[in-house]
Amino acid sequence: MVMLTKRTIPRAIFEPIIGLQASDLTGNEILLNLIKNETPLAIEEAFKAKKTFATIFEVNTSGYFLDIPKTYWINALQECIKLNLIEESYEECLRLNNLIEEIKKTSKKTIKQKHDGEGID
Amino acid sequence: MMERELTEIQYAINNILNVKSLVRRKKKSQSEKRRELFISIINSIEQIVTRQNVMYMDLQLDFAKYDEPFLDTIDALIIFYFGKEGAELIGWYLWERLNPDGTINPVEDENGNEIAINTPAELWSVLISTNPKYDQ
Repeated sequence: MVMLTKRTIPRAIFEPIIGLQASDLTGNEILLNLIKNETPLAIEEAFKAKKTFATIFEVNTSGYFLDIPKTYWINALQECIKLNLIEESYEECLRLNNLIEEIKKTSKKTIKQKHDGEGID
Repeated sequence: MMERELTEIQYAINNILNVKSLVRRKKKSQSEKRRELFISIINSIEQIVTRQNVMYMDLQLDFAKYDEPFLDTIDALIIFYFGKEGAELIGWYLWERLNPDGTINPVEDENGNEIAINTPAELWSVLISTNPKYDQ
């Protein structure tokens, strides 16, 4: 089977959105599932495309998108690992851990390159 | 869109993922708009067919003849835009993809690889990969 690779940014539908409180959402199973599944995909795609933001979802059909900056990708993936551990999805945890390592490696390289360049005149 | 609600959503995500996220408005590209329009057209046709089937199964009302001129017009417009090759793939998606038992028939690309097309979004991806002109 050939898999289609380009990710479609999902829409999270919040209904009714008026008067919505963060506390209504933090325990919402549908939202947690969406986050658990889409965050790694968004980060992986953004990482491979060398982007600085990973777009997780669009809020309703508003044209407003929720982005996670690169500096928080590792935190986000670690939280996704925790969500996967609850469901005992160990293979996914391993995959996410590998992705974290890859991101860390690339950041280290970038830092090293910057550091190496400092002494050159 | 209410700014306060967006902040609440952002706050919830920050708590769940231990991050500082951003909510940004992004202008949709022409390509994205075309894609969304295509998905909405295919979803509408599927809804018409489902309605036809439900009316027949539940009420013994045959709307096939009533819907036929509309569907013929849509078919003609699809051929007009996508040409014979593209229209064939869309026709396959709408009418031949699903088996009565709910299983899905894969389609083969020019190299003989089987491609799973499960959604209108995937259909659009296959269409533009076979002919990028559809997206121009």
